[in-house]
Amino acid sequence: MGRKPTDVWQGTLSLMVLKTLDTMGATHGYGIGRRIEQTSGERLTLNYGTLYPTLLKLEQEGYVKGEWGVSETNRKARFYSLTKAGKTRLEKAAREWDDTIAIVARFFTPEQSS
Amino acid sequence: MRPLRAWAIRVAGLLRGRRREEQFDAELASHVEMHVEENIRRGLTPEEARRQALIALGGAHLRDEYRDRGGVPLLESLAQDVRFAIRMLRKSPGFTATAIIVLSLGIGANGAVFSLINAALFKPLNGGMAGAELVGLYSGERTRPDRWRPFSYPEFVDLRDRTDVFAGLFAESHARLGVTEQGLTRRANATYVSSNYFQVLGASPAAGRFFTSDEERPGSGAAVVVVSDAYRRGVGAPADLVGRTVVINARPMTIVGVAPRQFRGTMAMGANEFWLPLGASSLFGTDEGMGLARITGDRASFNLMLSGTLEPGVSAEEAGARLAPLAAAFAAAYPQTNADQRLVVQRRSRINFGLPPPTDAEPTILGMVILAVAGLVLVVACLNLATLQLARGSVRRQEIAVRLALGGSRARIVRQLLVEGLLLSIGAGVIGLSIAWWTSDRIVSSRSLPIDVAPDGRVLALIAAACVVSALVFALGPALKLSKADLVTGMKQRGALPPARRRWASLQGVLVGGQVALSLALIAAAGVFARAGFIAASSDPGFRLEGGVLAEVDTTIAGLDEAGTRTAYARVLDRLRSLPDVGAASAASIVPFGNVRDARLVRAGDTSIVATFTVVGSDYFETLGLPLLAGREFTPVEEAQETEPVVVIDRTLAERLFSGRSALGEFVQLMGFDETPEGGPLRVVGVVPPVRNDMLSPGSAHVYVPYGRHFRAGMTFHVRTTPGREAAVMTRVQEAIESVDARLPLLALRPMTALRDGAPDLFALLLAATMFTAFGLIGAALSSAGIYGLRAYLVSQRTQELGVRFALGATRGGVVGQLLKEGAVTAACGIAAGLVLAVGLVQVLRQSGMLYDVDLVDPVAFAVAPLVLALTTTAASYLPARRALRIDPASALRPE
Repeated sequence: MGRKPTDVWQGTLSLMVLKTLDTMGATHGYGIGRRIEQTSGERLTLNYGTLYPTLLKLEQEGYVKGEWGVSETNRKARFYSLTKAGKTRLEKAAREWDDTIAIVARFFTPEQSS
Repeated sequence: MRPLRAWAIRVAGLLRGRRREEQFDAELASHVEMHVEENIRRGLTPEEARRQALIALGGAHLRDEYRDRGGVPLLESLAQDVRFAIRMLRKSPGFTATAIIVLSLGIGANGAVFSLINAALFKPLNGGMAGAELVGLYSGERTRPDRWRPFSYPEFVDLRDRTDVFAGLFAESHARLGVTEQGLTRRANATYVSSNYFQVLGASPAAGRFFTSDEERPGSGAAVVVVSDAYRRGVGAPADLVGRTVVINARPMTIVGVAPRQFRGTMAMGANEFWLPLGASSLFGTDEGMGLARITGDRASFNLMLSGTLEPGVSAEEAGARLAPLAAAFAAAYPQTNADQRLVVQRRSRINFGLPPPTDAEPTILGMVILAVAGLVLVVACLNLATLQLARGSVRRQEIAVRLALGGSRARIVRQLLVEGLLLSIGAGVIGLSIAWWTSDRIVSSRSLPIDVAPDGRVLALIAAACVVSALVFALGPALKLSKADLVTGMKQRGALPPARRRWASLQGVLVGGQVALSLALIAAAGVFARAGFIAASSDPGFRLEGGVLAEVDTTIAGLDEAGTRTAYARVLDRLRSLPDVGAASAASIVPFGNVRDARLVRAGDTSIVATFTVVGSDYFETLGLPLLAGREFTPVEEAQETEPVVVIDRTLAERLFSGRSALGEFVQLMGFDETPEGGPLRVVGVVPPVRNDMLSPGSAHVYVPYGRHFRAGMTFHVRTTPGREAAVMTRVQEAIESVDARLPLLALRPMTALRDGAPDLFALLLAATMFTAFGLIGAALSSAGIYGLRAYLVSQRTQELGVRFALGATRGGVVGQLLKEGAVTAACGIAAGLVLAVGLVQVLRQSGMLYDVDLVDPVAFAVAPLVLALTTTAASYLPARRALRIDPASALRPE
């Protein structure tokens, strides 16, 4: 399909954001970024800058909703939450990932004797 | 759906860009602060904390990416291009003004031509009501392919009912009837139609109803009428008209329905005001001169034209083939009327009506040719603009080079230049649309042509296409050229022009020279037409115009039959002849310089000559001021009653039919154009001098017959008085006519001099002169722009060469003189070619018969035209030459 490498990560980043919001509820941008790093076991060093365009896209598509609120340190921040459409999308994506992983795994497991 | 939602939000985001950016700045700021706080908690110093936070955030492109995603970047950069283009165009107002004028004239001319063609040939009639194609059914003869005739009512009924070829078939017959409103009578276009006419054409009444089959029956005498929506002239509602009375040919008729707003019938030029059922024709009189005949149920009475729509899937040829057995059956069943009949189905012409069956093929081709010529003019004008653009672009080379050096893409620069061009052409297109609409409207309204030239989708599409094409022609080439990266090195080349540019320059030179030639020819032709008009207006028609008074009457409008008409006219003439100040009075069926022509073939022996045919009263020639060359006038007895068949001919006929010998006492035979004789031989009793009945031709032969034997309901009374007394006499003439019979409608009353001045031929000459002048001036403007562009381009290319010259001591005047000389060569070639072309053009135009009296090389026109063009071309060459003076040798020589 000719997608650039960044597109692939962009796609997975969207999913990670959605999953994070599903788990944690309404969070601000910084919080989402920290959580993703933590979930990956600090294996991903996130370029926080890429988060915001992703969040904007998700917002435009209607999967997340953004609202201004106050953080735990009493700082004004924009909080994102998952919408119903986002939840549905997440579930669908999860299923797709499982299928993908299963198919790819078959290529890399030792040959079964036929 | 999701992507759609995202796009919609992005488009909306174009408008709230700034606010969004502010919000994002706030969000980023709070993000950074939170990260800094956490870093500090982890033990970093405040400075290190902040540094780490900013690194984690990413590079400068974050904002760009965010902004891009928030709006639609393509549209935003296009908006940027537009703003930049506007700025650049304002910086060179000369070029902008020239380009807009040239383009709007060119696009406007194309738009005007196409509006006329569209209205005549393509625009759906009746607001699109007649969806299916309209075809005409024609009755011809199998053995004689050029003989056609209309249908009779019984034939129509047979054809309408017995065939499955047509989805609908209706009958119509055109007539001109008199309408009396508030005491004044005027002629109006009317059509007799069968009861299914409106239904086949897909129209529903705007008010009231259409006709019933009872009313359609010939002889029913149904005094009902349907009026066109234009009849109410925008006053009140259509429903108000239903039930009202309108007086047609002195008969009160009831309005039963109003046609829908855009409905005008079956012709592109539709000024039809009234529709009447076929049965109404028995209410009115007949007049052979006006083409008024009664529609009857007689199988041999042929006066109906049939048209309709075909069943879906049936073509015109197929329909004709399917009707052949029916025609054969008719031929067998009705040998007197339908022997050898051939039924032909053909697509209806939108412009012509009648027999033989007309097609729109020729007008379409003519229209396309004219449009192609107009398009060519536009293309050449755009090429001129391209040259101008190149000249102007050389000034911007620096700016473009810098942009390229800074990493700008060539595509972006080309796009920006194209946007500039499109901006110009779209602006010009809007102006051009107004020009097109105004011009085509003026042309049709000046002749009161009832044709709707309002622009529709097609015209708009053409203008849009013209805008895009012209932008491509004049902006794309130069854009590609100017954005080449090696432009900078190209500039360094000294001395002569590189061959590619030389080729472009000479191509432009030829094109511009051609434009000059064409403009000169057009202006010369305009001058010739103007001269012709001048000569014609002051020419001698052969009879005395001064002191003549005319009064036009038509008794069919008053509802009088032949006996009543004769009585009335006899009494009118008595009264006129007894008026004081009146030397002589008579009547005639047609007048010189009039709209109506009537002609016959006159044969004596083996020679047949076409002659204008006029029915006249006694003393006609004395009234007109024509001296008798031999013989006598018609007598009062011959004016009033049918006596022995006599005729008066003019000298032209006498010489050509009876060369040498006296014509008196000889016999001639009148025939129609298909050589069927009308009546028996007529004895020549008088010979008169020839007259001109229009200003443009040398005059045809004339033949005159007395009123006693040849009846006409519409006659014009001629009265001779002393010059200067016309106004007083006109009043008395009007009183005399009214006193004889108040019902007699006076359709026109004027002195004879006014008749000549208002003649359609003079109008045609003036119209031609105006059009040619307009085209010529446009051409001159375009060619001047072209020369200017070419000279400017050449000067810009030779900046360094000129700089060297100046540095080496050449005088300003000397250089300018040399540049002017170079420009003069192109112009001189153009003018010379133009003179040759002008002679050819005038020769061709003479074939139209309009330029009879003018010399082939009219001295005035052929002197003025080259002068005009010499002036414009000199001015156009001078300005760039003057620019050359401003070349500073030092900066010109400095390597860029």
